[in-house]
Amino acid sequence: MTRATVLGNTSLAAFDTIVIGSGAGGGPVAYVLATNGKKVLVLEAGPNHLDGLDSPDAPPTPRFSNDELKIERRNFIEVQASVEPRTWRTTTSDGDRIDALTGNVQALPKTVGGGCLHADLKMPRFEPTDFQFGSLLDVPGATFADWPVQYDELEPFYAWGERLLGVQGLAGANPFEGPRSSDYPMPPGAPMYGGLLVGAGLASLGYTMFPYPTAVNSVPYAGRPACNDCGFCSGYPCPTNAKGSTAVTMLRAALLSGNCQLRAETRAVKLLANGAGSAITGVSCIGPAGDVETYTADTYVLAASPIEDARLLLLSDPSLGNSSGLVGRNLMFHYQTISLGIFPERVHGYRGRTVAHGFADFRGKPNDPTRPLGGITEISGGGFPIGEAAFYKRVLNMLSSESWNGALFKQLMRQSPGRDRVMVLVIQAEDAPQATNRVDLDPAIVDLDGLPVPRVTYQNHAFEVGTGQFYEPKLLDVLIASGCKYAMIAPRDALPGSQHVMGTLRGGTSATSSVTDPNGRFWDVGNLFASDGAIFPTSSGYNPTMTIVAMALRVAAAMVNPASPASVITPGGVMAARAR
Amino acid sequence: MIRLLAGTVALVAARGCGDNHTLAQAELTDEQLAMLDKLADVIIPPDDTPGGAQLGTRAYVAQLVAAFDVTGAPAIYCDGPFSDRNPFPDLATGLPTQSFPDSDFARFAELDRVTFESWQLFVLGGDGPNGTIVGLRDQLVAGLNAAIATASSPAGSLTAKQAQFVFDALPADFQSLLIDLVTEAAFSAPEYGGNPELAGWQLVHFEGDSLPLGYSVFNGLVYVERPQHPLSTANPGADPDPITSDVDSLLKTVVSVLGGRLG
Repeated sequence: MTRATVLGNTSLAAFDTIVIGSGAGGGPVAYVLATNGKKVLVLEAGPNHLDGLDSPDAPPTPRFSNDELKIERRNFIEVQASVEPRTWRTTTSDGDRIDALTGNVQALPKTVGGGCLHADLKMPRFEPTDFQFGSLLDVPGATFADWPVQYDELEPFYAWGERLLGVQGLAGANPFEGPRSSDYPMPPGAPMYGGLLVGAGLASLGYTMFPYPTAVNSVPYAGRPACNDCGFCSGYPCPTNAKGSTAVTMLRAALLSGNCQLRAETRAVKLLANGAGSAITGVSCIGPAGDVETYTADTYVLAASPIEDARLLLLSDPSLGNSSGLVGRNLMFHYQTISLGIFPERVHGYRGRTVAHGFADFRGKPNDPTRPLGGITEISGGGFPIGEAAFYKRVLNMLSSESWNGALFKQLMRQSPGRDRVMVLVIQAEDAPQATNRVDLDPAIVDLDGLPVPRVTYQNHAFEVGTGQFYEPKLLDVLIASGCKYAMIAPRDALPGSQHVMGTLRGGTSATSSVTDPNGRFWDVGNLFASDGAIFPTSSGYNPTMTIVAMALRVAAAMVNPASPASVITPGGVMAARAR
Repeated sequence: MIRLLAGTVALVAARGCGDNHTLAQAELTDEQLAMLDKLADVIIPPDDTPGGAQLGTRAYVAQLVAAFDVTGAPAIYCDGPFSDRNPFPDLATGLPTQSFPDSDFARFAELDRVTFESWQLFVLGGDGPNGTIVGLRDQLVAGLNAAIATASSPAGSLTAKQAQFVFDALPADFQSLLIDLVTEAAFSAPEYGGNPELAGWQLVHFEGDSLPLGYSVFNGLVYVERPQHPLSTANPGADPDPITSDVDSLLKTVVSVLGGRLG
């Protein structure tokens, strides 16, 4: 079957808004605008693998599958780093780049649906104090800032997003969560055996495990089926539509509204601006066949991921929207501390949703040295055999590079300590923002279209390194208390493990200290907005996608009704919006 | 240059390709293929269970290096969502039915412009955006020729010990490539050419792709799990491959090196 590159209302030729990116930041904007009568064009650089996404008859048929080689080794939805590399250095003292790290640097999936597809859609909200670290913290060398929107104002958009996506969870189970105006739309799904073992260990130490809020159907919801726990979840786009990604919920509803067109395999490469740089007049793209195309609208929304948003601005004009000098700066990733616990028995963590439970006791409190600001901890199952083999390859090479021990490798694969017996605890910790952590354009490395690639300059602050060291022994305590025979902290790689990418177009209340205003609008460019994780001033210590969705809904609602964004919120879910 | 064994090519065509494919044979000599088998058996040695060669390395590599020698979609990504290995569940009981989906894995997904360019460069090599890329085919030919030059006798007659010597003398990059290819062959879906009769998955007690059956069914009231493949409880029956003293010793070493803890 030939893959469609133009979806939705293909006859639309004039647009109110162009949204660049179709993931967690773009889908909600398309949904709000299209269902409020605006004509929307969504530009997505990657291909569409959701056949029938714009069909009203049934949910789409994904081309995704329980296929480790396809998804994890051959990067079916991820970027192809050989022709679309990025470069990396820790500081300018590294020179132009660290050549060995040229390749996939924190890239999010490039496909219709974006990063929302590869995630297992863990959807916790941020805590109320997470929006106030500019006021609460004073960390030398870091640029903590208050958010321009506080929890109370965002809460209705959190609740709306949870309804639209379909989020399972148990209100009040996380003792540290903020006030909620409504319960989760559906109850927690089936638990995983390994998670229950860790839960017992946590309880013995006085910690509180709770069902992880996830946008995965625990019951049939909005025309999509309940998850059947196939196991291929984290890193894998869902073959059954049980995951409530923004693609199969909000973006689909936008496409079905008659007011939205999506162009896949259409890569925005330049924003065209008026002479003063105060308004965008068009966007230049490279289309599916490599031809240059130009699209115009009244307003434009950047939602291509923080790194690609910044790159597009810098490719267009380094001064565009950049009177603050902050475009590309304050790039953040969550600081992951990963511990592995190997049980004597097989805990079959490859069955289920990868993460069914978590705990927030290591999130910490501002300015409390006995509980430094770490993050939520995911309780995760093991992976699949090709990745497991790569893990053992690394271990065996680490211990002896003299001679390959095939017999021991085979024993490891058959006994499977790294897959069938392992549970993994991952802290997603606060990453202190720093102006020197940034995206700019590499001076020499280009992509297949000859355009400069993004260069990431990033190094960790002592703030997060210290919290990681603080909680490492506590993670080991949990694993041993849970019954693990072997417990260890995974060595850190040169690149961050987290694909939680935030910052680069920091939001704020001042044009001198931020790039975008409280409604996501660029201070300098009146018809340009950003709606993804780029506008985050700080990272929190919770998975960012729910907050990206809530902020994107709010950005779009403010475009519809600047005086009262909350008035745009509808009470039902996606299906109710469609009926309207 | 001679062609791969006809039987191998037929196997590849039957498993992984639609009717629009005319798989050309990879350009590896008999001696290179024999060396590939020997090195695969160094990486996963045969014993009373299959080794790397028997787990389909040759057929997997043949399919990958010939991925662009086709008239339809290159043989890079099996399509989705389902293979035909698992049935639909009974929504009342959660148990398998006798109804199976057609296999979407039996055809390959089309590639977009960027992905096509990337994978063509990976397999065949050429001028990339930032310099020349040596393709997999050429890497294999060069690496296997180096192995042949190192060997004291023709590949087919090498003992396991001699093959180990050859492998250990190879450049680290080529060793790493071979380990990746052999393990991909052994543990990927069989539509990619390896893992014959699911022997690789069975070797490591992996249940493979589970859809559309999955591991739980919400029947409208509760979750029903498969008794022999439970989600929330321990596996029934004995451990098929308990931790041995060799693996225990290795894990203790890893814990010691990483500063971990033993329970």
